Amino acid sequence: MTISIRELLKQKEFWAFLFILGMALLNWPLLSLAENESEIFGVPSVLAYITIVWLMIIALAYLFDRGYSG
Amino acid sequence: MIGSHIALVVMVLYLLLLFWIAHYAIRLRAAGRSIVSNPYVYVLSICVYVSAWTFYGSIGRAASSGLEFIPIYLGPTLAMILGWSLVRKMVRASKEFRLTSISDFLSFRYGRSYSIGAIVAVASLAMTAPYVALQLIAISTSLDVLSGMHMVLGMEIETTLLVAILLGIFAATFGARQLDPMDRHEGLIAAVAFESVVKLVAFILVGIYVTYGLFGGYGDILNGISSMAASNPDYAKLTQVDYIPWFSITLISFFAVLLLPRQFHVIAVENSDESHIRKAMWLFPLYLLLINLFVPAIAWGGLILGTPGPSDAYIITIPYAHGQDLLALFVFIGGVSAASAMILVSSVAVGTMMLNDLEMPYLLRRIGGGRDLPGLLLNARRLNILLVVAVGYLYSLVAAYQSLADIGIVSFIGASQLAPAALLGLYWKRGSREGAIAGLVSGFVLWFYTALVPILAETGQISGSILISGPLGIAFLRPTALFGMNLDIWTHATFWTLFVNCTLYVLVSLMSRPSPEEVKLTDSFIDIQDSTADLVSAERTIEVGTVDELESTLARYIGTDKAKSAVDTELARLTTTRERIDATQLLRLWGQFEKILTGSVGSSATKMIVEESINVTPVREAAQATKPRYDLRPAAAYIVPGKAYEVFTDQITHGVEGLCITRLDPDEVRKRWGFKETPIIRLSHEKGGTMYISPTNLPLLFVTIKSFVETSKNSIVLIDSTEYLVKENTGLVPEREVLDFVYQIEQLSKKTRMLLSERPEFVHKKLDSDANEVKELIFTLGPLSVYLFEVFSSAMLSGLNETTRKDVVEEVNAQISCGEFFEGSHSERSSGDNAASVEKDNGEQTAACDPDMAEASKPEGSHDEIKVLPGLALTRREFFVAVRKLARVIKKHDPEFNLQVAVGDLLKSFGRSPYEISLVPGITYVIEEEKPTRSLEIFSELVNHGMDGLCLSRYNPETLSDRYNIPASTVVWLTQKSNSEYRTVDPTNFPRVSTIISEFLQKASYPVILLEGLGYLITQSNYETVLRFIQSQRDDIALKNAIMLVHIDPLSLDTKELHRLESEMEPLEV
Repeated sequence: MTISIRELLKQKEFWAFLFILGMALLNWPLLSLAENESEIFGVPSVLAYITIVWLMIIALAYLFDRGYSG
Repeated sequence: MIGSHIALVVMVLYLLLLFWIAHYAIRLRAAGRSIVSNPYVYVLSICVYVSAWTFYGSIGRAASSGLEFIPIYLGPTLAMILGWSLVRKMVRASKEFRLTSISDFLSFRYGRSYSIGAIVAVASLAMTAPYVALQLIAISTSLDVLSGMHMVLGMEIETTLLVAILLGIFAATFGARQLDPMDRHEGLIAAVAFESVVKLVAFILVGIYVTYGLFGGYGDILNGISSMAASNPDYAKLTQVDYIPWFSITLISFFAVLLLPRQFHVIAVENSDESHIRKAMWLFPLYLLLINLFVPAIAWGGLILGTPGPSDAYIITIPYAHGQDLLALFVFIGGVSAASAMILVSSVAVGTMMLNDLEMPYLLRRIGGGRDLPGLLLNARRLNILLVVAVGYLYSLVAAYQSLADIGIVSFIGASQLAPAALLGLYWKRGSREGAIAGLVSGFVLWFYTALVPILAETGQISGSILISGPLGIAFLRPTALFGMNLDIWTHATFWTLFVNCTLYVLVSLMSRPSPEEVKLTDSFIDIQDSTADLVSAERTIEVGTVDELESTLARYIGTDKAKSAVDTELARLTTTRERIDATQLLRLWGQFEKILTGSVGSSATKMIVEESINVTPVREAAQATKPRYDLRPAAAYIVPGKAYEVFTDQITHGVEGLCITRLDPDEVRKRWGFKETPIIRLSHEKGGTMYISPTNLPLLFVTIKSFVETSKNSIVLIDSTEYLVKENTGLVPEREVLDFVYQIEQLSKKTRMLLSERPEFVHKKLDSDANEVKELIFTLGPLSVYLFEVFSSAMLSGLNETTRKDVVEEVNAQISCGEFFEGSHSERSSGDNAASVEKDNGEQTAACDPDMAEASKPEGSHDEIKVLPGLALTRREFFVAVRKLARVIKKHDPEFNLQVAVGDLLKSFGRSPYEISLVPGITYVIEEEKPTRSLEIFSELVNHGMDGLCLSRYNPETLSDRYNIPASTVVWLTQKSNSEYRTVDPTNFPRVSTIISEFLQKASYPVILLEGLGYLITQSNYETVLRFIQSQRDDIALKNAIMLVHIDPLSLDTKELHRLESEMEPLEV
């Protein structure tokens, strides 16, 4: 069994999944988990959480673009 | 305070800079180095999503409800996740079918439906209005901050109006430059991309300034907010998330980023390469992240600092309050950038939509495609663009009290109504037109009710009681709490509109049965990823024949040059030429033609144009056993004054298939003459059914007749009448078009019996029987010969410079009014009063020709055009004489003028050889060449273009026919052998040759004689005899106004002999 991120990124189903995952991560209830009084580097945890998810989406898309050959 | 006009001036300068950038980009593209077809520019253009809302509204939102500004950007980020699947599919479908807007997209998907296109176009105007209003308010607020009240021209003008006017003019000039068949706007995109950079830079600069300049970093701000939150619970919720609105806003922004008119335009319509989408998938979310990075900082920083004024404007008021004038100005420009980009793209997109999907089909019905259509369309587009800005301005007056972010959300919810029909429609084949209409209409109605009505109630436009107790007192129909649902206003609206919209879309689609055409369209639309097959409806039989017809129809809508180049490109792509194109390629060309037209005028308009082709199937009425009363040749044109219908009926009741084109009422015709099945087409401006053609729609009329003739083996066409057609088209349609039509009818008469029912007064030929055969329609009917002269004269005058032209025209006009220009300058031959009117004319003319009087009576405006006397009619001979006279006058003023060059193409398009113009009737010409190739070629060309020819040659007629395409019937073989097949004559028998020539001249109406083989004649007898023969023939030719071409091989004679021969004749340069 070979695990290839590139292959994963090429699947249409992956992106559909990621979309749903993104919707879930950025909404209640998962979002509410990040909503507490703590702070990361002085930034409210909620903001930090959103920013991290946002950046991860960007990163995945970037990898897809870079690795695209077809 | 920045000087009161400086901000305004800077704004105008900035807009001018954008013009320059656009101009530069267009120039680069013309040089082949497009800067716009690159992925980064593509991404930057998508960033037009970020408008003044981000600059002002987001900050206002962040300052009042905290993190609620974020979901507006999360939606698009999530949308980009589906970039390679959903977005790419949308883009591919749009490009494949040359769709120009979201309304075009939806209209096309659901069977090219006019209603859907129109609904979406109007709805787009409605949903764009709040958004445009937002921009105007934002800009004018910041303008006010920077410069106070405005005194323009000594009057106080409300800032918003000023901004609206400025941006409206900018958009109209910028956005509608030409009706490009591809509908991509290179300059627009370049400008928008530039603006995206400017706004990002501005935002980051001010963000850095606030965070690190006024505070000690982000942490500082956040600490400040927390401490404020500790003392005031209002501030605590700034870092809290309100989940329900969060979700609904994410959802509607997801829809909005794809379906807002401007978004669809930059993402799909302006896309030049699918691979750019991959860049957009990560770059666009990155841009959004960066531009939002400092929003909390500025918003909360402003709160902490206690900056005065609305929080919407913090981004300007903070630097301004701290004396940073330059930064404030730059931020202002950033905001202007954001707003103008949005207004620009939106107004162009919506303006185009309104034109293509709402107004154009209506215009088509009314005008039927006459006039200068491309010019008209362009102006209509500009007006529409202004309309969009105007409506936005009006909305801003209504909604002035709202927070900017709220104004924008209204727009987003509107855009979301397109989602079920557009997005589900991309995947679900069962989605039908009726379902889409049901969903769209219900969605928009509810949107109006739940989102716009509350606003109108708040501002007092309608009674506020509706919010409290519902319409007509029905409490559970309250616009903000339908059926008792209690949510924030936006989630409430989002839920109800989308719920009802989707449900109706699905249900009604399931209930309806789409037409087979719609099914086919849908299949190819949805399967667009799987195949790049051409969408060619194979069922359409090739009714419209040639490439030229296609091109001329196309030319009506996009202009002749564009049409020509588009057709040429397609022909090259199909690797064929106009002459060699075969049936399959023609079908393909048809498919492309539809796409090109769609790209220019939208899909529902194209459908109308394409489907307008009327289907006439030839049908036989009863075939009687008797012989028909009128004996007509199967392929000829006849003028039938008065008895046209009788003749027609006589023929069709004897087995001929007929087509009747009339201006009378078809039912009456049927009743009176007893046609049952024969198709009758009425010439009328009404659209009363399928068998009506507007008399100004000559191409359609011709195409219909032609398809009828081509599909029938034995046909007859009745046209009642050409006079009517000419009259109806006067002033509306260029003369050239009318001439082309008549000429093509003349050509068609070679394949059918063409009956023209005309009044004798309209015809310049003696009509002595019921059915008079006629060969040259243009010189026989009405003012057509004059049109022809006008067309030729303008072609000849067009190459001259201003002054020469004026001189020529003056001289010609003077000659015309003296009756000296046209050979028989008498009016149309009316029956009795010819003598009287000529005398009267002469009387007037002599008065005008009196030198003293002539000066005084020179008509006004005689300097611009040649004024032909009304009622004039020219025979072919008179026509050519007039053209040559004009040429002589021109040559007097401009010796470089070459008649053949000026009118050669024109002649060819009317089926004449260009040589005809150089050959003056009555002259004998000598052509000197070693072998008679050119002589024979010219003769062949002239004969095949309608002249009556006689060729005396020593070549075998079979050779002549094979090699030079000279009809054997025109050849008389100079040989001593006798031959039963061909006409021969003994070359020594000059009297016989003479007789042959004179017999020919008696019968021929437009004769040309080629005498080839002079050398042979000389060797067979002697030089003197031949010379005498030539001399006598020359006189005969001159008398009979014929043309003779004599070929000589100059090397076969000595100089003196050659000179003597030459002196008898005119040399013809070949």
